[in-house]
Parts: sequence; C-alpha cells; structure tokens
Amino acid sequence: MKDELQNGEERDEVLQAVGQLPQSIEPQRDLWPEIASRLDAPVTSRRPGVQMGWTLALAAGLGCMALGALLTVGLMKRADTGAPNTLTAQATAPANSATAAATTPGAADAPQVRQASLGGYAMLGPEYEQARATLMIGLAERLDRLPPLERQKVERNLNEIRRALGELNAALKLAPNDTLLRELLLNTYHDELTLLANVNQIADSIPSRTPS
Amino acid sequence: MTLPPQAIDTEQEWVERARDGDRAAFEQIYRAYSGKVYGLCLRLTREASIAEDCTQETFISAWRNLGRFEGRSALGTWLHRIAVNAALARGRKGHLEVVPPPQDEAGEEHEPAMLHDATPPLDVEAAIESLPTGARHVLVLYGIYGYTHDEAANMLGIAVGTCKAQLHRARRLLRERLSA
Repeated sequence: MKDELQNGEERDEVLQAVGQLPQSIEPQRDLWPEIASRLDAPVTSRRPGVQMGWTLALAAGLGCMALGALLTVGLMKRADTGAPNTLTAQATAPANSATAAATTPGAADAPQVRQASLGGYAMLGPEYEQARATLMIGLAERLDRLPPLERQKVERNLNEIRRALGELNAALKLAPNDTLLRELLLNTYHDELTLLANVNQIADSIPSRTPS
Repeated sequence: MTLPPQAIDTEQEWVERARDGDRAAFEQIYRAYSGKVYGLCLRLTREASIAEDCTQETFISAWRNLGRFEGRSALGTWLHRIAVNAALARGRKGHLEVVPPPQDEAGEEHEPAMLHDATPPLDVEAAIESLPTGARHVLVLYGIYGYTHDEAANMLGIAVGTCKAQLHRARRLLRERLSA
C-alpha cells in the first residue's frame, strides 16, 4: 500500500479488517473443463495471441459496419416518410478506423453525405462527434414517440454508454496501447450503435401522432 | 501478488509452454490463480454465476493474449486486470438491461437500501457487498488486493482523484455499517 504513505492515509480499523479478508476464493465448481473446451475455438487453433488485435478490431469493425447499414436502412425508411432532420452513421473498417456519413433526408435533392472519421481508438474525430450530435437531435424526436418508460430506459442506457466511453477514453489516454481497453472501447461504440438502431426501429414501428 | 523465486521460475515455464500451445501448462496457471481471479470477480460482480462467467472469460482471454504478456507485471496482476475488464464489461451489459441505480443531481449513486436496513450484515464481506458499485470496486482492489490508487484507477478506467474519493466514501460507509 504505497499510497497510504504518500497520501497520509492511516490504515484504520476498517481497512485493516478489509485487508485481512482472503484474496482467494475457490469457485464452487471446477471451471477448467468449460474453459478448456472453449480454448478449442478456431481463433485459438494457432499460437495464442498472434494477430489477435487485428482479428478483434476487424470483427468489431465488421460489426459496426453491419449496424451502420442497419441504422442507415432504418433512417432511410424514415426519410421516405418525410421525417425531418435525421442523420445516419456508418462505420467502415480498416481495423482501427470508422467513418460516419451524415445525411439530410428532408432536403429536396439527393441527401448530402458528409464523411467523418473516427480519430483512432481513443478519441472520436470532430466530424464524427458533430455527426453524432446531429443524430442525437433526430433521436430526441424519435424518443418523444416512445412510451415514457421505454424512453427513460433508453436515456439511462445512453447516459451509461456515454459515461463508459468517457472513462474508456480517459483510461486510453493513460494507456494508449492497452489492447483490452481498445477492445472495450470498440464494444462500447458497438453498444451505442445497437441502441441507436433499436430506438430507430422501435420508433418506426409506432404510428406518428398527428395533431387533429 | 508475489511468489517465491522457485515458484516464479515455474510460473515462467508455464507461461512459455502455454504460449507454445501447451494446455497442460495453461491449466497449471489456471489452478494457481483461479481462486484469486474468482475471488476478485465475485467481489466485483456480487453474483457467483456471473463471477464464474467472468473467470472463464478471463482465462480464455489470457490464453488468447499470452503472446502479448511481456512479464513487466506479475502474471497475477495481468490476470486481475483482464478480470476487472471482464467484470466491468459484464456490469455495463447488465446496466443496459436493467434500471441502473438511482443517482442524485451530482450523478452519484445512492447507497443501496440495505445499508439502512435494521438488520446489519454479520461480517465485513457482507458489508462490502452492500456498498455502492463504484466504492466497492475501489475498496476491493485497494483494500483486499493491495493495488495502489494509480493501479486501481487504471484498471477501473477512472481518474485517480475519483478513486481516492470512492475509497474515502467506501471507508465511511463501511465504518457506519460495521458499527451499526
């Protein structure tokens, strides 16, 4: 506990009691058979660890592409019904990059598409941030159409995802080469896209309320 | 998490052999560290079944990433780091499915209702289990597993100042709880 000396923290009774707890707790059953069976997965058939970064990043990128496509289809459906001010985000994958395209389906001519880049693992590029912010504006309109409980749940989940993204970005600033943090960050972006796609899908399934 | 020199030699051999695909060697690593990994996962997640899943994910991830383990930190620390990530990821997924704990205006979680129950927990372990998530995570890493604030903050993806504040909060709540 080097910090105790540095910070002048006394090891009070509480910390003493906590420190006496055993670090090791054996699982109630032997987990090794299941672990061993999962080691047989194709990805581990070669020497473990080799090129896993590329594999994971590619898988995450492909996942983002699929979700981006889903989101695009959903939003284009919205465009067909004349919904204003919506925007799509899509990701492309050379492993550690993504792009977002902003469209304005309500425009008279063909939708404007603006490419934005994801600035590496740790930080979103400003264009992507702007595109995402615009998407959030459209999202507010769709959220208004959701039942109150569903809306609250979505908003809580979005807040949770944003908090996680902030913490992961902060951690990656300290450890930019941490593979696991990068993986978590990509997964969290994946979660965000999934949530946005789900909101879009649900909102589309609810008839719009038109003023009488 | 230090081992005697002879054990470290053995551990290094296990790692080298496991890197070359020797599952028996990797099983030795599992046997040596499963308790500490499961203990950490159980205290972070509070559910035995989830802790078992996280433990499995930890060792599978370790197997796949052994090529990246450079030995700059102890193997146990490296495994703990993976376990924390697994538990946090599981917690985030859990939050997406259930209503998260209530927060006040400052964004801080309220203490679980059981902190104010008439019947106090019987032991320190139960009192730790009753702590709010953030405070519990820091207390477990700092108080039980002996990581520094820098290490714990890095593992949890939070600022060092936040880590210290959470520890202060955990100590206060735990003291109240244990003296009730």
